[in-house]
This record gives sequence, structure tokens and C-alpha cells, in this order.
Amino acid sequence: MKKIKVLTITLLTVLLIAGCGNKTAKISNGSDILIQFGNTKITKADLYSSMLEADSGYTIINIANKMIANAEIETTAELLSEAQEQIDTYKASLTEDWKTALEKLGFETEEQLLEQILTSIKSDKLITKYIDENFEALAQEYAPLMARMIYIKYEDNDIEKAKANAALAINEIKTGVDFKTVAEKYSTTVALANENLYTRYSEMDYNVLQYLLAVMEPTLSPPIENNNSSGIYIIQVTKTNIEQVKEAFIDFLSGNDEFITKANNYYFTKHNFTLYDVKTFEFIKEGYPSYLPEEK
Amino acid sequence: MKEFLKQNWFVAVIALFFIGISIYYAYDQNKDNLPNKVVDGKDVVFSVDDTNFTADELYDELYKTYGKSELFLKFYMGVIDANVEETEELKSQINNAVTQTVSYYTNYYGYGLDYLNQLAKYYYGYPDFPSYVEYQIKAEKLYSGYIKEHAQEYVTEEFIAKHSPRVISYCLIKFDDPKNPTAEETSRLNTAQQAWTNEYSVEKFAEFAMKYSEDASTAGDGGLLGYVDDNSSLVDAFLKAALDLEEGQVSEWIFDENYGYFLIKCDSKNYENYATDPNFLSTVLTDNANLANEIVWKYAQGANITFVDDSVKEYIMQQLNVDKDGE
Repeated sequence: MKKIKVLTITLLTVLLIAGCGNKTAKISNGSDILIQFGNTKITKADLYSSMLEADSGYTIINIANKMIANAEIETTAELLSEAQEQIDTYKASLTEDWKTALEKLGFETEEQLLEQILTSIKSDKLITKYIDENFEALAQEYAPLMARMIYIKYEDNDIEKAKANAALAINEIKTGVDFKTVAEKYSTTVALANENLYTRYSEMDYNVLQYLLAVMEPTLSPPIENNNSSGIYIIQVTKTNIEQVKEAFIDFLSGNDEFITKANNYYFTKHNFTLYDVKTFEFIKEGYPSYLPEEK
Repeated sequence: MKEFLKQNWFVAVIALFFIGISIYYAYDQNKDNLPNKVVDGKDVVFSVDDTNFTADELYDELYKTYGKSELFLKFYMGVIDANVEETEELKSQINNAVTQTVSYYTNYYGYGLDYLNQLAKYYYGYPDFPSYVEYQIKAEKLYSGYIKEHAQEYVTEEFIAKHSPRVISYCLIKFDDPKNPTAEETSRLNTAQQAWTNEYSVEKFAEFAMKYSEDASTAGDGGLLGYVDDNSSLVDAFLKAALDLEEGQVSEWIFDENYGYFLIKCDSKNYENYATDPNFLSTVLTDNANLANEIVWKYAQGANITFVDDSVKEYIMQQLNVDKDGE
């Protein structure tokens, strides 16, 4: 009998421990009634639950981002002045009164708007800071360089004609004819003749990318047949020195969503962003998974 | 102890095995769980470094953006729930409407319930599409009930003169290209026309429509179309003929260049017969721009509404466009 008792207690304990699952964070005074009519009561907890459904993930990410931006970026006089300038420009463009405009933006006071703009500026600076702090590693990872290209398509499968044109184009470039002028004469896609930044992740033809990754110095390529044998590329690599491509590289990274996600993930992990509420965790996992420091 | 284990070694092995499995089970169930945190008696939602953000703070933050609009929706749904009885018939009507709409969107646009759920959530604030449909239909019931109770205010002589409200049935003989009928189509029309003239009367119109009408959507109901008024979206020739009829009258055969030939009957001009028709409701609500909101407010007040926060009350009244004098 005693053995059965021990086994039963053990079983119940285990089930109890197993049942201690994820917790939902509750508000204080959730049973407070906000509106009542007849038997219908709308409580604070009811409202909280609906508001969480509305888009708590976005709100939490915003708040956490603000906390992190404030911890990482100091509020300097320069930042304040930049934020104030944005407000002044906006004010100058208004046709309605300031209070109405603020309300339409969802703010009660100008200070709230200023704070929001500051957070936005700081978020941008956060990305720049990440680039600065990791520049060498990023340069190595992305292998950025500047180049311009000519693409000669095999029209009517006339490969020989395309090859002949490619040879003529290379010759003209070597004799000093402007690259764009040559491109206008021979290239199927003139836009490629503009000097652009290319990285390891650029969506380019495989053979072209392999060439770019191998190049160490500015140079003019031989004709390179593309991967699906439908044309020829001529590539002029113009800058490979990281200092020379730095500005374009930073611009590229700052506008690259994938990179911004990576940078945000870095800061959220660095500042130990931790969720304790299973409901909001699920919302963030669904809508903003890249902000979760580790896969749960 | 040794003696005990010697005597019960098998039970001990089973017990150990069981305990091992149990411990693993408990570990497995909890390994992916989030940590819990309570600070000063308040539940924490998240933290950044050592700064905690509690559920109370999140409530305040969310309230700034969503509070009043969510409260309004809850209030609106609450008023409807408190005043519309959820019968089995109503549940079935809601389910049918949801199923039909989802099926329509899936067949014609290629996206179904998930897409409609998102529309309902982001444009109207409802948790999902079925809830949106539920409250649309329940609201119609609420408005219909109110208008029925106050019919003398809304179904006035002026309303009848302006809109010519009535219940209509019809029989359609369909032509592919009515301007260039085939011999077979002309023959079908002749057969129906002769049958109507020789074998049927006004009283047997439903029977006639059931047998001869080629409009699958109404033939089964004896040709019943339902409520029609001057706002109805019907082809011109049909609408004009339908509105010209007196109760119990049947029109001549009406030609329409898109459909073919219609025979139309005015079943009733009596309000009782169209009181619950959604199209009648739509005409009344269009004529009385803020009536739907006023009905919601009146039903809420009838249940002794109490607001804790005056600003919420003001917001709801503003959304309903009802003034304080109306209280």
C-alpha cells in the first residue's frame, strides 16, 4: 500500500512539474470594470487581451528598440537639433494648426513627437554604429568592389558576331574611348555601364560573380560568357580598395533589409532582450522572428 | 534495506525505470518554456539588460494606440450580444454566410479564410472573419428589430411613395443572345407563354415559376426574389415593370437584351412581408444616415450603461455621432 502511495505521489509531482508550462503575464487589477451595461462587463483584462491581439509584437519591438537605442546612442545636442529641425520642417509644411497635426500623428505633445523622432534617428545611428564597429569583418564577408559592365547578348544565336563585338569593345576601351560610349554602342543593357557596388551577395550571373570575387585590383576583364551561354560580359573593375568603396558600401548596408535585420538581432542579443510572456512571444515569433535572440 | 531490495528487486527496477521516464518527460515538457518573472508583484513581459517592462506598462503603452478603438469595438459587440438572441437559426445563417464568402473568395481570387481573417482584423478590428460576419448579421437583426418596433416612424407614406417597396417573384426564360434567339429558345418561350396563358393563374404563379423559370437561384422558391424598391440593383426594364405593378398583379412578358424574357409578379406591398429583408433595412438606413449608430446607443442606454472613464464615453459617443442631449 505504501509503495502505491509513493508511486502515486511521484507521478503527480512529475505531472505537476510537466504542467508548469509557459506563463502569460497578467496586468494588475485585470478584473476592474471599464464599461458595464446589463450583465455585460468589459474589464481591463478583456481590453488588454484585445490590444495584445491588435499588434503587441510591433509595440514591444518598438519599445525594446527604443531602450536599446538609448543605451547605445547618447542624446547629444547635435541629435536634438537634427530632430528639432525635422519638426520645424514639418511645421512649415502644415496647412492646419499644430495641435490638430500632432493629434493626427497620435501625439499629445511636441515633446512626445521629438522623442519619437530621436528614437528613429538613433535607430539609424545604431545601424551605422554596427557597421563602424564591424567594418573589417563586414568588408571581408561582403567583399565589396566597384565595377561597370557591358553585356552583349547572342542575338539570333550568332555567337561569333557577339564575340567579334566583344573584342572590338575591349579594344576601344583599351584605346581610351569612354566606357559608357562603348557600352551604348555594343551593350544590350546600358544601365550596367554605370559604376555600381557589387558584393558577394549581389544577384549576378554566376560566372560574373566568380570573376568579381577573384579580382584583387582594378582591371578590365576578358570576354566572360555567362552561365547559361546566352551572352558575353565585359567587366571593368574600377575600385577594390576598401577605403575607396567605403561610402558606397555603408550606403548599401544601411539600406539593406537583410543586413538591418542582422544588426538588430545583434543588438537585441547584446542587450539580452528576454520575453517572459508566451502570448507576446508567439506574436513576435510570427511577425518579427529576427528580433528573437535565439530560436525557442 | 538490502533485504527489502532483495525481496522486491523487480518492483524496484520497474520503479526506477518509471521514475527515469517521468523525469525525462518533465524535462522535455519544460525545456522550451519561457522563464517567468515577477517584480514587485507585477508580471514582467520582457526585459532589456536589467530594465523590466511589466504587463501594466505594456497595457498603458498599447492603450495609447489601440485602447479607445478596441473599447469601442468591445462596446459595440457587447451591445449586440446583450440584445440579439443567438438562436440555432441565427448560428446557421452565420455559418452559411461565412462558408459561402470563403468559398467565393477561394474560387474567384485564390485566397480564402486566412486572407479574410486578415481583412477583418486589420480593417475592422475583429479577431477573425467569422466574428466579423457574426456581428454584421447580428447587427442587422438588432436594427431590424428596432425599425419594426418603430415602423410608423420609418415606413411612412412618404417612404412608400419615394421607394415603392414590395416583394417580387419572377419567371425567366433565358436566351444566350436575346437579340438573336435560336429556334430552340423561341420554342421554349412559346411553350412557357402558352402554359401561362392557358394553364396557370396569378394564384399559381409560384407553381408556374417552379416549373418554367430558368433562373436556378430563384426557381426553387417559386421565383421569389424578395424585397425590391427604387434602389434595387436590377436591370432597368425589370425594375420599371416590377415597380409599376399593384399587389397581386403579374406583368406582361418583359424583354431584356441581356437575359431574355421575364414574367414578374408583385407578391405583396405589405410591410410585414419585407420587414426583415436586409435590402429593406439598407434603404431605411440609407435614408436615415446615423440611425444604425443611434440604435446601438439607445440599446446601450436601455441597459444602464456605466463608463468608468469619461473620455471613453466621449470617444464612443463621438464614434457613434450621438450627442449628449440624446441621453
